[in-house]
Formats: sequence, structure tokens, C-alpha cells
Amino acid sequence: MAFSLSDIRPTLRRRFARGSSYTIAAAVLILLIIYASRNWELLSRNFFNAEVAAKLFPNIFIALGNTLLYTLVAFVFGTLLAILLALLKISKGPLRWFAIVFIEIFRGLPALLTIFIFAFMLTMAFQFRWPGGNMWGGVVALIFVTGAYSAEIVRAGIDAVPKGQREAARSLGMSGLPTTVFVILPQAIRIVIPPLTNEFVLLLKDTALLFIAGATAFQRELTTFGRDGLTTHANSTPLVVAGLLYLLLTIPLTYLVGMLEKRMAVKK
Amino acid sequence: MSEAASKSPKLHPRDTPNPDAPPIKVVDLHKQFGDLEVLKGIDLEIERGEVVCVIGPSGSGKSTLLRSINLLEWPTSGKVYIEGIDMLDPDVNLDRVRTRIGMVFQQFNLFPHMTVLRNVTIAQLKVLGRTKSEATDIAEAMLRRVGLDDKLHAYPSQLSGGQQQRVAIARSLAMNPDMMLFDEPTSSLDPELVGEVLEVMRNLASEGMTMMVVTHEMGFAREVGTRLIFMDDGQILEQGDPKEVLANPQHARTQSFLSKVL
Ligand SMILES: Nc1ncnc2c1ncn2[C@@H]1O[C@H](COP(=O)(O)OP(=O)(O)OP(=O)(O)O)[C@@H](O)[C@H]1O
Ligand SMILES: [Mg+2]
Repeated sequence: MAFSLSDIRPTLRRRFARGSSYTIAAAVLILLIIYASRNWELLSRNFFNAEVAAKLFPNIFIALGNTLLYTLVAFVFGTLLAILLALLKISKGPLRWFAIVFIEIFRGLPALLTIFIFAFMLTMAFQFRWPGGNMWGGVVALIFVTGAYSAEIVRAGIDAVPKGQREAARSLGMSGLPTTVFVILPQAIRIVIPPLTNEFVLLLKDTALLFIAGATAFQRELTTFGRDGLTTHANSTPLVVAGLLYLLLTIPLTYLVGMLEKRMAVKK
Repeated sequence: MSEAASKSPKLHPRDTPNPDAPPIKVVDLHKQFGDLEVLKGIDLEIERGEVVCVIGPSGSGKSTLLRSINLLEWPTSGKVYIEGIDMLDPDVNLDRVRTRIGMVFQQFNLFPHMTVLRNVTIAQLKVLGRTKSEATDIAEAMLRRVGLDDKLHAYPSQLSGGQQQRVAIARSLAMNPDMMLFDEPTSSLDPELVGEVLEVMRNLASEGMTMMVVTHEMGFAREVGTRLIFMDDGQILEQGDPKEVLANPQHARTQSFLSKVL
């Protein structure tokens, strides 16, 4: 295979960029360690306080459970919505425009604002209550936001299914809907499992935004729980613990995405 | 889902095949892709039980002609009749007619996420409304016909190209088609796998299946074909008895094409 300068350049640049970001990270770490060793007493009391940490258990598991619950609900319904939006968007009917507008709006608005609108503004404007409280209004907002983002992912997946698949199904006499449901979508979803898993990680972190929805004690997710702990104990340890729990979930998932992507690449 | 509706498509009088009409009749067919005129007026009538082989240089419109017959490509103008049914009549239920036209592709186009059995039953279940046990019995019989009844639970990726193509043929046969279209069914196969697919096609022909086959296999065309069509630049330039055409091509273009491939 022949190499040209333009082939090499991007790799070099990437390597250089990675090298420099390693240097910066190392410098920051060293400064932190120097700072920490001088103020260890103060730091550990405020951020890594074992006594405070102990008091967080077992209630923090409820918060962790809520974070997972909100993430799962938003992910499942968001993905279903995404499939619907993707199908509408590639259809030729007038509902196509509904999908386009829907996607643009919910991708364009800040998620925090969308949650605020759903949790409070809608209930005030239309005089209703979300069953289960405003929190669930916030979860509906996350469903819409994820639906809008994942719709583009799913659409790309549908485009990636070879044209011959639809032709084979149609030549067997299958009409449009069964062809899409039984032949195209299963393949499209398989193709977009890595980016959808990535979307799951983003969503997991975005559930932190639900803190503005005003949770009851049993509805708090990790971030709200950590922030409430900060107030109760006048100590930052609860937020640190919450942060560690997030990392415990997100880092393995991120690696999973990388692995899935590699496996897909090999398959091709 | 409206499963029931898809199981018994509305029967329209114009949907009813006429047993006396030719299986395939094409009248003054034109097809354009943008400015590119790919079919320039094709007239063709195929009788029941004929095996029509189509040859011609790359880009001459062979695939487009085949795909226009079951309306995978929409003609720009002209007519297509399947067993007397006007395919371009908006009242005709296309899906219903398509079940009677089997189609086999160069790339097999098996559904990769389904087992062999599911590949062969899915359209029977969703289109013809057969029961699961009916569909399974028919699938097994068709797979036996192509010599693959031991691969029911394999996935396409676990099969050789030749086996995949035979499954694709069984999948079409399971719909009880009155005719079969083949678009270069052996062109993407390793040479040693071509024979097993041609063998299946030869058997089909001897059982009286009406077939239209785009192919580069001149041996097959000579021995199995009842008619050979040479296409060039969107037109049928020459046709006739395969042995005749191959031995005594009338047109200079046919002669030069054959001298290159034979
Ligand atoms: N969907 C399409 N859009 C635009 N052009 C097309 C399309 N399909 C086919 N063509 C063009 O039409 C011409 C005829 O194509 P066709 O596939 O029918 O040829 P063919 O005789 O089957 O060739 P081959 O032997 O290579 O399969 C080619 O020039 C091709 O590029
Ligand atoms: Mg072709």
C-alpha cells in the first residue's frame, strides 16, 4: 500500500495531541498531589470523610436505583420514540415534517430547559399533574430529548442496511410495513448498538439534570442525593461518593462501547 | 398490527391471473435514470415453460429489464403484463402479483439475522398467511429440493456462497411462483460452487418452470435455455434458439461480444 504525506499527517497530529494532553494531565495531577499533601487534613475532612460517607448508606442505594430507573425508562421509551421518528422521517407522508420539527426542537433546546418546561411550565399552563410527581415530567422530557438524538442514529442504521434486503423482501411480496419491521429494523438496530449504548451513557449522566424537577425523598437520583447530603452534613463527601458511583457505571460502559465498535469493524 | 389485512389482500378482478395469457409480456418498455436512457423500447413475450437466457455487455440494461418485470424498477413508459395482469394499473395489488414471480439476486440477499428456516418461512407467514407448521413443511420440502434440508437452523453467514444461493432459490420456491427471474445467480460464486447452483436451476427448468435468467454461463444457456436474448445498449439486438445464436450470431455486436466471452 502506498503512503502519502496526507495519510500520515492526521495520525501524527492525533499522536501529538494525545501526547500533549497526557503532559497536561500529568502536570495537573502532580500539582494536585503537591497541594493535597500540604492540605491533606483539610481535604480529607471535606471530601473524603469516612464518617459522613458511612451515614450515606444505605439510602444512597435508593438514589443509585432511581438513577438507573430513570435512565432505563428514558432509554427504552426514548429508543422506541427514536425508531418511530426515524421511520416517519424517511417516509414520504406529511408526518415526515412532524418528525423533522420534533427532532430539531428537542436536539436544539438545552436538556435542562426541556426538563424545566415539562416538569413545571406544562403543568402550570395546562393545569394537570404528572402521575408520580413532577419528577416524571422531567423523565418524559429526557425521553423526548433522547428520542430526538437517537432518531438520527437509527436513521443512519436504516440507511446502512444493504438495499438488496428490502428488494428481496419486496420481491417475495412483503409489503412496506412487514419489510421494515421484520427485515430492515432488526438489522439497523444491530448496526447502531454501539452509538445507542453511547447514548445510554450520556443519558445516565443527564439524569443528573433532573435535580431541578424537585424530587421527593424517595425519588432523588444520585446528584440530588449528593447535593442534599452536602447541605445536611455541611461536607462535600456525599457529592464525591455520588461522583464515584457514576464513574463506576460510565467507565465500564464506555469501554463496552469501544469493544462493540471494534467488533462491528471486524465484522465488516 | 393489521396481520389479518395482510393475510387476505383485497381481491380485485384485475388481480386475477389469466392462465391463457403469457407469464411475462413486456411492451415498448422504456426506463430512464435521470438523463440516462437504460431501456430503449423492449418488446418481449415469454411463454409458459420457456427458459429465456439474457446475455449482453455490462451496462446494457439486463438487470434493469429483469427488475422492471416485478417492478423493483418503475418503467418510464411502456407496459408490463404478468399472466395478463397489467402491473402498472394502480388498482392492482403488486405485492400479491410479486408472490408469483420468484426473484434470485447476484448477492443472494438472504436475511442475515434469520436462520435458513426463518428465511424460507417468513414471507409464507406474513404474506400468504400460512400456518407455522404448513410453512415449515413447505420450507423443508423446498430445502430438500435444493439439497439443504440439513441446514435448517444455520445462519446465512455459516453457509458457503453456493449454499446461500440455493437457500435463496428455496425461499422463492416456497411462495409457489409461476415464474422465476435470476439476475446473474452464479456471478459472485467461487468457480467450484457454480455447478451446484446451476444444477438446481437445471432441475427447475426440467420441471417446467418458466425462467428468465441473466447469465454469463454460456454452457447453461446452450443446454438449458430455450431462447437466448442478446441485449446491447438498452435494446434486444438479437434473439433465438441458443445454439443458433451462439453458433451463428447475426449482428456484429453479438459476434464481438461472444468472441470475448467464449
Ligand atoms: N438506480 C440507478 N440509478 C442510476 N443509474 C442506474 C441505476 N441502476 C442502473 N443504472 C445504470 O443503468 C445502466 C444499466 O444498468 P444494468 O444494471 O441494467 O446493466 P446490466 O446489463 O445488468 O450490467 P451488468 O452486466 O454490469 O450487471 C448502467 O449504466 C447503470 O449504471
Ligand atoms: Mg446486472
